[in-house]
Parts: sequence; C-alpha cells; structure tokens
Amino acid sequence: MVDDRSADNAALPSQLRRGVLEFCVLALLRDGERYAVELVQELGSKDGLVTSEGTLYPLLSRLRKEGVVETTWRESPGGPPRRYYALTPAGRAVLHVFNEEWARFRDTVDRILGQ
Amino acid sequence: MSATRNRLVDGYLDDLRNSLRDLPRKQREELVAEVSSHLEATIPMGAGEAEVLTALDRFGDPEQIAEAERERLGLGLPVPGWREWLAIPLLLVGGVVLPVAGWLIGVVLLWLSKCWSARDKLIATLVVPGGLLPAIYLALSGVTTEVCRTRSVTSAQGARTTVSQVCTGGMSTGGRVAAIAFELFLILAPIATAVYLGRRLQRR
Repeated sequence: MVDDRSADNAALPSQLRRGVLEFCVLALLRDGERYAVELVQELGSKDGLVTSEGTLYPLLSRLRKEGVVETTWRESPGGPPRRYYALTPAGRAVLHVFNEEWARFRDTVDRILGQ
Repeated sequence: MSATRNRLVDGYLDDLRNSLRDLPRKQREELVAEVSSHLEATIPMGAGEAEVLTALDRFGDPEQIAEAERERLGLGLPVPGWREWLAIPLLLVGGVVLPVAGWLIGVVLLWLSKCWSARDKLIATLVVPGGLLPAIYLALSGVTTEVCRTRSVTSAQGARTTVSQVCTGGMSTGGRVAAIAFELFLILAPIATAVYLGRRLQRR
C-alpha cells in the first residue's frame, strides 16, 4: 500500500505536466517563430516541465498534426537547413482560450489550497 | 575525436530505433530524423566522449522518448502474450521434445511477435539453431568420449602376459578441450538466449 502511494506521488507531476506542456509550447511561440532546437532546449531547461528534451519531439509532431503549429525550413549559414516552428491562427486561438481557463483554474486551486 | 562522437550518436539513434520497433516505419523514421538533426545541431563535431554522453543523457532515455511517441499515436506497448512465453521454451527445448519441428514452431512464433526487434529475433534464431538439440546430439554421438579396450597378450613362452591398452575414437588433449568447450557453448548459449528473450519481454 505504501508503495502504491509513493508511485502515485511520482506520477502526479507527470500528469500535471502532460496537461499543460503543449500550451507552454504554444506560449513560447507567441512572439514569433522559433528554431526547433532552441525551442526544445528552452523547454528542457525549465525546472520540472519536461522529463527530457527528447520527449518534446513527439509532442511537437502532435501539435503539427493538430494544426496549431506549422513549420518552415530555412537555410542556415554553414549548416543544414533548420526547421522553424510558428503558431497558426488556430494555435493562437487555442492559446488565448487556455490563458483565460488557466487563470480561473489557478485561482480556484489556490483558494482551495489556501483554506 | 569526431569518430568517437559519431559512434556514440549513431549508437544512441540505433537504441532509439530499437525502442520504436513496434511503431510504423514512417513514424519511426520521422522521429529518428528529427532527433538526429537535433543531436547534429547540439553536439559539436569535436566533442569528447564525456561531453557527448552528457548531452545524450540530457536529451533523454530512448525508451522514454518512445513512450511519449506511443502516447501521441495512442498506441500501447505490445503486451507479451502466451505466444511469446511459449516461443521461449520451444526455442530452447522444443527441438528436443519434438525433434526439429518443436524448434521450428518456436521460430515461427518468434518472428510473428511484435514484442521483439528484428535484431532480437535474429539472435534468437542463430544462437543456437535447434536450441539444446545440437548439444544433446553431440553428447550422445560420443565424439568426445574415448573407447579403450584392454588386450592381454600371452607370449609364446607362455610365461609372460602383456597387458596393453588400445584406445580408439579419442582425441588429443587439445582436441578434447576444444570439444568440451564447444559442447559447453552449445549448452550455455541457447540458455543465455532464452534468458535474454525473457528479459526483453519484461523490460518495462
């Protein structure tokens, strides 16, 4: 039983993360397109956001298929072409909705935790 | 320097490909290509072994990345069933219980399974064909055993009896050591393969 509890505790951050990670990706693209490698490294460097940089590629691939981000290949000086990610109008709309929902959700949870 | 780097990166990509073995080829190669270009861009050509290993470690465990990809595609890891658990004993002793045919059934079950990679399947088929059958065959055929016959020769004078030992089928000491080593290999290698196959099924 004790083992079950501690396993749940370990799974908690990963469940929380899973829900909000994709919106963090969208938020990082809010101000313009980003080079895939830099995007992944930036997300990877944020404390407690991802398990590893590598796991972000399947996520980016899903966001592409969902049509909330789009990619373009650009030439880079002295290297292979680079893949850039940008928000689509649909992605921008999703991010806008999430922003409002998140603020409400956070306030509610904070209120309950603070009681 | 860059040879070490390339060897480590290629090894990592192979591990990733292996972890993704149950996914459709298109998805697998797409993800491997993306990861490859990320590593290409982030690990400098002249990086030393320690630097490369740190970067790969930071990038993450291939199994974890494969798990994220499966989740994205809504796929679960193929769950080993009775076929897999039957294939292992069949490969090991199937050929002994039901000569040759038992092992062949094991091979068919092995290659039909999605739980093992092509590399695993190749190892399991080639080490050792027939499972323990060749080991038992070799032991029974008695190539390694020496047959000695004692011969008594009575001399013409009838006074002295010479006892001589004539041995046939034997080998030189070196030959015998090699034969025993080969026999041991034929016993241990299929057992090691069976253990390996079992562990691959339980890697999660």
